[in-house]
Amino acid sequence: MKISSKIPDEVDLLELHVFGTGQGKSILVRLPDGKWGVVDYFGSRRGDPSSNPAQAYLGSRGVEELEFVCLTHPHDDHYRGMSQLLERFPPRHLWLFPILDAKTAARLAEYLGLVELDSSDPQEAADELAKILDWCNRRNKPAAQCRLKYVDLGKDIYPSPEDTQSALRIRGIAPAPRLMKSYFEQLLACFRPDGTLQKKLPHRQHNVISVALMIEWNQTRIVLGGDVEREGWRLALEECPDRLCRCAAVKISHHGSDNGYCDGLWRALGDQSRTVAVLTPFHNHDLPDPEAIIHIEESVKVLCSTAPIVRIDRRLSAHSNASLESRQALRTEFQTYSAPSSTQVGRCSFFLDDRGQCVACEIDPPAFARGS
Amino acid sequence: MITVDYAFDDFRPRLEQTLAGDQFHCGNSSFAKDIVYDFQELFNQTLNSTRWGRAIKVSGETEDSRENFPGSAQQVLETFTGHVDAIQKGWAFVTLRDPYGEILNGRYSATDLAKQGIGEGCRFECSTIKIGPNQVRISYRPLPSLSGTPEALRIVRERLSLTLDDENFIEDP
Repeated sequence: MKISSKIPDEVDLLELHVFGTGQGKSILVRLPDGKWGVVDYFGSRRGDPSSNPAQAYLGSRGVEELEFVCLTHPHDDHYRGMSQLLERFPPRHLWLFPILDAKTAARLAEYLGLVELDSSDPQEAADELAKILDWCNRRNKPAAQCRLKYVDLGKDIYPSPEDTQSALRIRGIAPAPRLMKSYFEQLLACFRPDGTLQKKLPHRQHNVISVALMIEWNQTRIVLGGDVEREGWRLALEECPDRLCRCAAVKISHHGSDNGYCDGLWRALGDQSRTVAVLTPFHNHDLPDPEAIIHIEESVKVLCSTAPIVRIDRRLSAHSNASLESRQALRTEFQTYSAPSSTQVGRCSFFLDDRGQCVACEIDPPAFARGS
Repeated sequence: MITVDYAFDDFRPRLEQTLAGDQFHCGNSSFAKDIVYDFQELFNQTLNSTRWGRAIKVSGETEDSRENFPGSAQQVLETFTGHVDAIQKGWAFVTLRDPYGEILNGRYSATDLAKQGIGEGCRFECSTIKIGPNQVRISYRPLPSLSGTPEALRIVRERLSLTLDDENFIEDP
């Protein structure tokens, strides 16, 4: 593998581009036949497409249409600005976490909206999800012509099962149906009969239905882990142990949290001679966990991160107009720091052949790589 | 019998009148402090429940505070609306927003917040209060949830205006 400043010859390469800000992430996939897809999408500033460098990157590569878009789960850091992407690049395929039906979709949006009323950043994430759902709702109109699939463990997603000639396959490796059922039961139990909210789910509960994808192309395997947590991985390992092994590239799930993997997962996924793992830190929740990074690095050749890994207690709050005494006290008590800059977006790009080798990568700061 | 130090002879008539009439008002904190010093024990015994005694006590406390923090009383520096975004591994990850929209993120002991009745998904008010030179105290208290009322549901439904059709959420073959 080499660190390249030039995009290599595009022919017959599978490309993975991961963008991250320290909050959310966007993942672009270029298939060997030149088609492009997006898995999760995050713009730093709501309503401003220019704040998502993934979209600018698509433009720089001359992309005018998308083959697929996948939304892994209903957390804002995975879909902020996605409705604009759908409008700008209507995909031929839309893959979603399992929603079940329109009523459940509406309940989920209402749930997020009600919870947002209490949050410090109200009334925006639910609106965005509602726009995405609305786009789904309109997708079967002639202008859209988009095929919808819900992803779950073991499901073949792409191409269609009839296309037996394709050397490339995309499969769902999460969520497990058992977890989905439990999630929706818990979600619906949050509502009183009159539709008002009687309780809230833990924030992380939405990770239970997170999609994870595996892209297979001859000997090359890429795992895009979404925010799948321990139980999801355990079930995935049980279901398809022969596929979850010796990957060329892995997007580390759940920002590198210590429950973003299960026992044996990285021993199976990783190959110290070739695996590149890419991390998307989430600074607000102090992720990744250092222990998880140590664990993952033992199994991979290179670990890349789209943003600096910075512990909360090392960050400074610095705002000239605010009372320094006040901010210092908050820093001591709450270990606070200012919301990260929206302009710091790193990119890790990997160019893979069909023999499981990453033939080149590009690291665009503040992203960085470490390893051999 | 109350005795007054000779230095305050000029004030004796006023003091005696005040004691009798329970109408003491202290306009000079230094003077008040001396009075408190001389008569503290006696006043504590005999006048604790009178407005006079309370006035002296308040003056004395003010003076004590000023020894530690000259110039003014406690001062609220900033007030934030907080939200517990998530709890992980014993930490409450919080977002603080000031009245001007500035956002701070941080973390705090989830156990300590729970003692105040503040858990995941809860709102709270957080203030920084200057209590002395280089001394800032942080106070926080839970705020009521906005999410569980019919009015909240009406607002959200109006905002989202979701009219989804089941047919359009059926998976394509």
